[in-house]
Amino acid sequence: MECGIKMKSRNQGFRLREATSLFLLENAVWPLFIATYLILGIIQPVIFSPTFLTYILYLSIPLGFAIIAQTICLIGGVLDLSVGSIVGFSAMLAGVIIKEFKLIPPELSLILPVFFGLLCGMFNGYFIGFLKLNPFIVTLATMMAYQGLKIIVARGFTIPGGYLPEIYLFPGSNMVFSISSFLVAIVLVWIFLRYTKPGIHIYVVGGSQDVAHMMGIDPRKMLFIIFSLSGLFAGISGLYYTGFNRSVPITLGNEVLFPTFAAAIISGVSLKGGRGNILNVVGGTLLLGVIEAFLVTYAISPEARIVGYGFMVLIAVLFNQFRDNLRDSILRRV
Amino acid sequence: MNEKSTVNLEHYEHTKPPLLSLRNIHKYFGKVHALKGVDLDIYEGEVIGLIGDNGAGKSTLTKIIAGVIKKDAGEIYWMGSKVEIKNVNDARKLGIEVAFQEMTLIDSLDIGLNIFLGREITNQRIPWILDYNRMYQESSRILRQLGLRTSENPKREVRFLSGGEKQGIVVARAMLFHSKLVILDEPTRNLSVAGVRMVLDFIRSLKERKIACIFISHTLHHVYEVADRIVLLSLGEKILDVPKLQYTVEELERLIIERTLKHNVSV
Repeated sequence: MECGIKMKSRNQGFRLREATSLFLLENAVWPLFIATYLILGIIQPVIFSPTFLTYILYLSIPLGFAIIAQTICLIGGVLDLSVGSIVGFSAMLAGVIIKEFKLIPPELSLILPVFFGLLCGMFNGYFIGFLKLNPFIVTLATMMAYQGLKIIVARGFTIPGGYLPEIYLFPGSNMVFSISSFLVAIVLVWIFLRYTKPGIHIYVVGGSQDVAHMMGIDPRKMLFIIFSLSGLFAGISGLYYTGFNRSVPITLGNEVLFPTFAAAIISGVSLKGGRGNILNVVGGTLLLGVIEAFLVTYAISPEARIVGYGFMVLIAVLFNQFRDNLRDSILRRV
Repeated sequence: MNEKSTVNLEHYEHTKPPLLSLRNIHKYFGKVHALKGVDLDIYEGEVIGLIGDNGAGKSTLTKIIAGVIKKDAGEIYWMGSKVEIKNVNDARKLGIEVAFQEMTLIDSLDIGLNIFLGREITNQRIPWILDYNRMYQESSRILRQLGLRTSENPKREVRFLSGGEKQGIVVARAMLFHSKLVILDEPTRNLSVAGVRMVLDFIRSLKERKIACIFISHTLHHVYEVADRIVLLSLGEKILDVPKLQYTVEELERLIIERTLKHNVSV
């Protein structure tokens, strides 16, 4: 685990310069975000206004929850291709149920997308964990299945916000609540991953499933937990997207998957598994938000943005590899 | 000499029952009969050198003892009473520690977490919150006892350690959790000369602490140096079970090769 800065006080031979560069490397997403922000701000000065920055954060929150989902999977050494489809399907299914069955108490309706997301994740986790199927294939299959189900339950139509109770739209539409709840969620997930037994076992399984098994940690159970959590956060993402859009568009979740990879990887979450700090994911989320906002102000077509996201994943992987190598070369000398 | 009749247990006169007794252990992998009724006794503080060619069943046998895989038939006795080892945690509760080469460490985690892998110390008040301070303290203490430099920084990631230092973590686990039996599978593979020396010294230190040890290696000289007793497996059967001094390294080596050729196994 990242421990560079803590080492400083323990190892006297360890110089301040090395500690600083380690700290910067481990949290490289922040300098990267600031640099990107400054460069894009010089090109497009409107980005510099404080309200715009707050808006970027707000705009990134729904995606941010999906990024948490993907990050948990990547730390656990697996990937979840169905994240975006779960976002769309859970939000759509919940929306349809609320619209069709008006009897459901509005407060209870908040739980629906989260619950459906969890179910979708548990379904993935059952096949991957207990039936030992390849995560790539399983989530590829469910990515298509949940995507199709979304369109089927929606009967091809967007659900307008008017059909949904105000409290249901609140988490995603209220800027202050949206941002603060996201930050609270990040801190909670960070505490879970770093300071609890099941959390650290996600890192262990991400490091090696065989070793986990040898050391009495059941990788099947952990994979089930990982995908359940992923589904849960995808469901939350669906709820926030609904509030943000004040509707459930039929296209919801279609453009979620690639940004989740890009943001998680650029934040230092290794594709190799077992590495990464969820706190940095806030930086990755912001970085993506700034780039997205920049592209929007220049009215770049959605197609071109997809191309951009594709390349961003590649760049993120390259960047991460470069950073890991640099970090290793410093730590090896200690 | 290479017949089953050479199995000789009469030599041992122990007052206590064996720490671990295996009786008639069978294991099948599909149609392959990997273990064909193996018996084995291990006494407190005894070092057993488990040898045999590839596919002899050494790893299978130790994995059954460690609870990594399940036996298909046979009985296991621990200090005289019958036990069922269904998983790794069952084995650990008895005091069996596995030290399979490169199989029990997570490279990207630090030394402290690796020592406590799967048995992390948690906060006394909040049951599932990890107590890092105590884990690091305990790790440092036990590594210092072993005279290892790694005790200075238990927050160091394991992948930056040398082979010998990694082995030290495994031994630290055995000491920390008061294991009674440690299984070392090829602990000297890929080690430097100094690293090998360190591992062999560790095995001796286990013995001094009355910890029994099953030591698997292809390098007969290493086995011969520290083992009290040599057990030879071939194609899932126990061929030989004798005090070390009855054979020389050369004789043992010849025995393994003879068995291999006799059964026409591809080398």
